[in-house]
Amino acid sequence: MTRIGFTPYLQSPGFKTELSAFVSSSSDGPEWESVELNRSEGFYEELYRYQYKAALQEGKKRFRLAISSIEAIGIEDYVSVGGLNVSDLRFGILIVSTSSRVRKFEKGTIQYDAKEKKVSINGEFIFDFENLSGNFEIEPVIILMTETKCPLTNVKVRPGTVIASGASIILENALKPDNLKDWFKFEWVNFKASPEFRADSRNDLDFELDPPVIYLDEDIANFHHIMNKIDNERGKQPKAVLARRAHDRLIAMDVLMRCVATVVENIREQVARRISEDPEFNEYDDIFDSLRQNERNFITYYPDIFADRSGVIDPRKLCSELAKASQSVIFQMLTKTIPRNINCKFSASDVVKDVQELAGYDND
Amino acid sequence: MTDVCLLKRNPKAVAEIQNYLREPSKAAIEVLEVGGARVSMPDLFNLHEKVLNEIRTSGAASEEEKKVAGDELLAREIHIGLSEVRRLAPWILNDGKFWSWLALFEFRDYALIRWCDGDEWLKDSSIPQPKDSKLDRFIMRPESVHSQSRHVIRRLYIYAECSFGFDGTYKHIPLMLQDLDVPGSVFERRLGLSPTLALMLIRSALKLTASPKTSSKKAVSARQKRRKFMREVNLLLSTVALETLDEREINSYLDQILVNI
Repeated sequence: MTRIGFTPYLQSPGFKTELSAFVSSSSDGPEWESVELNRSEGFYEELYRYQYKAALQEGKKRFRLAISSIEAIGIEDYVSVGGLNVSDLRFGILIVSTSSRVRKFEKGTIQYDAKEKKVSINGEFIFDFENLSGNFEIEPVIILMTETKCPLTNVKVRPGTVIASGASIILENALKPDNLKDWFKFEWVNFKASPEFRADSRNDLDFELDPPVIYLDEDIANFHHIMNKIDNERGKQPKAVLARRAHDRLIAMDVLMRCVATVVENIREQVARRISEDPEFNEYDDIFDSLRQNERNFITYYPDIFADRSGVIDPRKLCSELAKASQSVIFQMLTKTIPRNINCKFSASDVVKDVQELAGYDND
Repeated sequence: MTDVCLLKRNPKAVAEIQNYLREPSKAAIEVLEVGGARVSMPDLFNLHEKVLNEIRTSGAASEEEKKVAGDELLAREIHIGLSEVRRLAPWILNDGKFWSWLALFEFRDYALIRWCDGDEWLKDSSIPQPKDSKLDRFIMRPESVHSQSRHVIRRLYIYAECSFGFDGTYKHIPLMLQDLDVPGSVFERRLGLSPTLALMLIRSALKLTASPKTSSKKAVSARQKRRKFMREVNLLLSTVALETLDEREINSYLDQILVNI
């Protein structure tokens, strides 16, 4: 939804806004409590997320978003130089949700201070949690409602053109997985005695469940327990400690690789199915939406794992790239790029720690 | 009246759909309850019979046209029938478990006739089973507009919802069923999420017809032209918020794109 790049007319992508978010336990009362929006780093100039699943679980009924500008927006010349009336501009939010099948515009307020030559906007938008399902993408925009000429370039600008956009906000029906431990559930299984698991495997994954479950073979715990000697405070560590560390790290890496493989496999399956229906299929933009919620979360919250050297970490674009890629590129990614990313970029020690804590080593 | 139900888990793959079609008793189903009370909709058995009857007896010339007659009836009636669900439990309409229940149980015969050439392949193993892409139409992945617009029942609900959302009537459904490639190409994209925009796009896309081969140009199918048209509209949406405009203004933009296709 972010509108970046050059246009031959004056526009202000990423204008500064003040965002405040609130939730309420009542369906129509005036009581609101403030909640925090999580700022996402990376591919967008500014992007905020709010995971509403926790609020739903706490019985909250409504979400309120207040947006206002904090400085000149950057499109003032349309009014001050071009002579446009501020009523020919409209401020509001564009809302898109694929799950709830919504694509609409909700209006806010826009004003012009002739003395300071400054356009300002503000708006309050309320969402009933009962009507929310899946993700909602919200983009504050200022839209030109009449045909005019750009005051700087004299280019004709048509009605409906977005001439300014602020930081997007995504409402997600998820809990933010700060780390694997908070997101996944772990279960110990005796792989040799369980026919639904491969006897020679050490872990398995079910991304369908909520929360997703990582199954770990009991032998891992046994090995860890046997090797669980106390670390030396300094100097050379006992071989048992070194072996335990190496083993834990391998298991943790293996768990992450299995997550990656599951996501990539599903992306490729989706593409194969669409090509079987339509041999000329070549639009990959919505592959991201076809993934399971947990898979989307995995790509969204651990994009570094997938990123290639060009640093593409927009989840939607990343999915599209993985969908388009040839088999040899995918092979290269799965065998070289991603393992390297896991080893280098991703904090391996944190994963090991998460796996250990979740697996309950300390309770042995 | 029929109690609204849903499968206990969303089917993951077509193999599961095959299993449920062969042995329906294997599917675990639960009744939807809101605040301890069941949610009902008009008798689905009767509706299913009416739809099958429409397919069998409609005066349409071809088999495909007969199926489309059934589609039209079902689209309208399912949308009317789900009004109580929209009021009491709107989130269910985005739940794949609900739509799979409708496709696998309440409208099983319709779904099989519509997309799997009937159920003979379930009884006779020498008859090849339908392609995976056909059976995949029984699964609805909630976040995917592609999956929603292909689901055997959900797609019809979407057509009715679009028509109703536009002007409160169902009179636009026949237009959407005129050429199934058109609503498919609109609703499987995010631009089809706005009823007004979706309907304008369908009207415009129907104007695109195949161009025959000439001495200087290759033949171009209507489908190829529509795909190009949708790509152009998508590109336009990166700078223009069409959903904020009225019909006349949207049409002006779309006509300009049509001229260049």
